[in-house]
Amino acid sequence: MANKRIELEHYKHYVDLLAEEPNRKTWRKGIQVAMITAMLLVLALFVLGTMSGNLASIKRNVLEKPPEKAPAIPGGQQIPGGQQIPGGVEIPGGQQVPGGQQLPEGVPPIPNQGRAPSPARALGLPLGAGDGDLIAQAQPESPAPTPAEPAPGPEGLQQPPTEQGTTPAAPENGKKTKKPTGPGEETKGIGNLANLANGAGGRGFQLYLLVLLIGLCVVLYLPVRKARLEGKAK
Amino acid sequence: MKANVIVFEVATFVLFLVFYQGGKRALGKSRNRAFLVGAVMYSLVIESVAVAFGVNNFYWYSINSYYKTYPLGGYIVWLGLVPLAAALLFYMVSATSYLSASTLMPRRNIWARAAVAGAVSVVFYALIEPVAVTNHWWTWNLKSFYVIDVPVLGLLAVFAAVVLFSVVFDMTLVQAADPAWLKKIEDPTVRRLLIRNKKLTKNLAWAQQLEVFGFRLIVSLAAFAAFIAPFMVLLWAVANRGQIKPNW
Repeated sequence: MANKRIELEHYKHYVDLLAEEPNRKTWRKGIQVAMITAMLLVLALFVLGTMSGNLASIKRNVLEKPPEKAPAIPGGQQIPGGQQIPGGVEIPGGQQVPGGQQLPEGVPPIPNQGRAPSPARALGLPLGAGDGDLIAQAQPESPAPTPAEPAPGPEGLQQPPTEQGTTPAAPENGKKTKKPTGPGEETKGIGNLANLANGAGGRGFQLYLLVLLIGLCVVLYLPVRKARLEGKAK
Repeated sequence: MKANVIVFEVATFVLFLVFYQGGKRALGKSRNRAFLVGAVMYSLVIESVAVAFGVNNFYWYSINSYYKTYPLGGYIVWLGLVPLAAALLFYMVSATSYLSASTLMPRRNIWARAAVAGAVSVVFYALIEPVAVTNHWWTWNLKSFYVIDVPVLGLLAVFAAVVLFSVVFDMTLVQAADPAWLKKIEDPTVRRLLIRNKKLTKNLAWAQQLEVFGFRLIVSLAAFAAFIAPFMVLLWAVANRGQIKPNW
């Protein structure tokens, strides 16, 4: 007995294999809990994926830049209806302009993922415009009005890759421009998720997620089934 | 409707708490703890290197005014450059894959089981990645070959990481095996300098086994880098999307 105690004392710092190696009943329970939780994770991802189906169908979504921080607008500032907006001020597409003004035709829409840009940006308020400032006075000094570019058509969206945040330079009298290497506006062909999302009648992404959901649930169910069968056999 | 990053993070934390209880019963308390710490550290190292070298990032939300109230952007808890949720997700996926493979084919070769675990985890990430990139939970910056806006390299990396991690875990903390080729590396290094014990792994104390586990994980990280580097070059050569610059 004393020898046994000495032996146990000697091995006390070793891992307790009885505690560490769970019995089969505990193991079965653990497998069931782990696999069912993993199925819930898969289901949660499927739901989140289905919720974002409209985002997935936008070709430029993945490579879209993060929205800029909205400049703080002093409280109580109002733009009166019918106010003239100086030429060259950019107005994001799809924005309501107070006073019933019409947006100039051909202004390219800016993808905004359903979030409206800040009111100051939407109204073309320049940064640093303070309380009571006239907009025309608060304009930055340098910018000359730039003509609005025509909206790109479906083919126009397939732009060559450019440096993010830069516009490709116009070729100068026959000189070849340097081949851009940036990501461009979107990934093309098989690389673009929107092509999948817009396929199968606009349900391509949901079908893709559904197939993976079913496949993973089957794979995760097999260990649960095996553990249950082992439990029943005993 | 948008599945924002906070929803993903909270869902991951809640599911992790439940999953950990299941893992504790299925693997054993100490082994599951070692699996958790190992998997989190393993993914943290890989993803931190990836972020540092501009392969991917988690910062889309960081300059979004809507999420500016959260530290460093949308994610709440960060481990340096990587959100905790991403590391916990890797733990859940790798543990699920490992448990599936070891339950379904317990008597097969360790590498065969690890390969099945890797395949299951690739299917997991094939589901996770499109949802993540669509909602900007993370962004891939790498010049590579993309399929549905997911770099093939990312899926290969998941496969390699899960296979190597499963092999190291199983070999060290489950079977306590000492392959001859590994013993040649370990005897003059970790066993001589750190453990000061040249006993077989199965005869080591638990704390010493954990040290061997840590050392083998470091070796496997080197193996991971050696595996992924040629694919990185190959997929760079056939890239269909360029790199996003760091100041993006």
